[in-house]
Amino acid sequence: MVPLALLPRPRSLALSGLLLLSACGADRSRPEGAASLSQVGGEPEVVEVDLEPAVQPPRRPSVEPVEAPGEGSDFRTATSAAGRYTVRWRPVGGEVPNNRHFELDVWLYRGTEELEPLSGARLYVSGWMPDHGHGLVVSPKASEQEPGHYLVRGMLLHMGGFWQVFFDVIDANGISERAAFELELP
Amino acid sequence: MRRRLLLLAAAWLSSWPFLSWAASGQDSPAPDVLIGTVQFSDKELARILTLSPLPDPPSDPTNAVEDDPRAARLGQWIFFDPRFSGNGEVSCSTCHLPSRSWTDGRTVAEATGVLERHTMSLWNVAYNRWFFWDGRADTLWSQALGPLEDPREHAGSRLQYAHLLAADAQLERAYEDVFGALPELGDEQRFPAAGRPVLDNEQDPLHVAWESMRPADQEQVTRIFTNLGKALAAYQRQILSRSAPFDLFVEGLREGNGRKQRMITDSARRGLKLFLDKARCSICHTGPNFTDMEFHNNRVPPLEDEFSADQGRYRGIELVMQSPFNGAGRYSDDPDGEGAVKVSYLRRTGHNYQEFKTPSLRNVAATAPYMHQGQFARLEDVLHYYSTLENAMPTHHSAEKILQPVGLSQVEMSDLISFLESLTDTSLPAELLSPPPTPHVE
Repeated sequence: MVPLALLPRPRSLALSGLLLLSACGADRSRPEGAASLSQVGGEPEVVEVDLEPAVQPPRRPSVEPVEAPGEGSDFRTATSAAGRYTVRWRPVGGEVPNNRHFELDVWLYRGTEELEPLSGARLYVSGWMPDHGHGLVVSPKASEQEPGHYLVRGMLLHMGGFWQVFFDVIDANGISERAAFELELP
Repeated sequence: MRRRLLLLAAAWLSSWPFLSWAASGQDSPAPDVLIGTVQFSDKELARILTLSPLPDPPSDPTNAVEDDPRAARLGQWIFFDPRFSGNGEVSCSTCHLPSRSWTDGRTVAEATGVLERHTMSLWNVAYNRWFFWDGRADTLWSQALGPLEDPREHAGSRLQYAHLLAADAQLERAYEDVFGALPELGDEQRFPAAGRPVLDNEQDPLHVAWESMRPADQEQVTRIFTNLGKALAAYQRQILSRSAPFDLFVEGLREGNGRKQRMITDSARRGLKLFLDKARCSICHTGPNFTDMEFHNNRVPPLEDEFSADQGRYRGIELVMQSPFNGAGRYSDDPDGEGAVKVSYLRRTGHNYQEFKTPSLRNVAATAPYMHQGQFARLEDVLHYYSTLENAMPTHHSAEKILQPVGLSQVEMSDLISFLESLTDTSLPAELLSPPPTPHVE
């Protein structure tokens, strides 16, 4: 059984009095010496400076439709902070590489029990190394391949160590929630 | 007799417990093993194996001629030819001297003018993800284009270089063998003798000459210019450092070969252990090229006060995204594929302010001085800094939490230097160190 992982508490939830939620996908134990929750303190303080993109992402044929992940698949699963969405993902190619660009195969669902594919959502994937005090050097981009099935391109975990990976999901009504995962990259 | 002694010694060494470890491939933790007088844990040994061998350089799909020997030959010629400069006196080898490990021994670079950063060595440049200290280029060929036109470096112009190719029969042949026919450049009205875009000074005569040209003619000249960069990249891809004593040592670990394991000294082995653990070097100097290929603010004080405003990667990201020569641009040979990935998903945050690239440590003992302005004359000075963080600059943006004083003793620093010296490879073929007899292959 995958242990429940403690996740940093997003500020919006702190206000509404909700506490920590589980992430079934966080299947790696926290490394010795990793930062405590109090050190992590929720969202990283990063000053975003948006540049107008000088270039467009490369055009590529869309991926072949794949079967939605079921029980026993290699997808990691977590519910978003207040239980509105379920996020399932796996790295294309089978493993998360250290310091190489890769892609994520992601399924989004509404709810946590009777899952309904979440179509038309905006998905932002980000990452953070709490022990280092920095996040990703990339802004991955998601595109919907079929209802509820998204491909995220441009992922890069550029250093080995303990990473938090965040999936911010915004549905067509503009309601945003975050699902978080933890992984130790060798 | 001596040979017999050696064989006996090898037999004795091969009885060490570790020597069956590498071949067994078992996952279960093994007890610490002794190599010479240095004890390594199973985990440390596994990490050491990730540091060697260094595989062949990755392909750069944005440069279709990167493995064309004719392009490499032309690039090698250009690299040493001072005619590719405004005053006829500066070549790439003015700052990237083969005799000085492809750098210049200076603090900050100096060619036709003085620059604000230190000349980077070219060892293993083909493995880079980003180029320059601030990563303002994303391909090796586009890196070469900057210095060729920078008024403080070669101080020439793309029009001048195009005319030079057309005026020298050997160069013309070399170019056309790889890239096809040069356009007819004889009409001085259409193709002035010198000219380039000068974005920060529209009154500059070079800019005025450039702007007098028709866009289609500008495009032809820029295409020639980018081809020169691709030829230079094909040459520089061959500047490899991956057969150092350390690589033999790791080979020895894999093979259980005691003779190879002794290719580095006990002091270097102690230094290796420090490198992995206490000194924390391997957090950023990772993998077989000893770099994470990305950028960090190590808070090294600037050489002089006027340099303190160097924005580093923060500005570099802006420049590479705007560059017409990036991997997604029209001069790239793979603008819609993998060649565009790096720049397409790039992200800039305040964290990038004053970050500089993690350099490879291959041949590092031969590339003094160190850091982005050559602030430290010797490896001892570098290690003293990381040991104490003496005079470290404050950061006004988010800091690297992992940058903490590591507190090394004199003996430990000496051991680390022994290890770094074991990364020196002197086996680069001599024919790559000087101009070829002709710019073209016979």
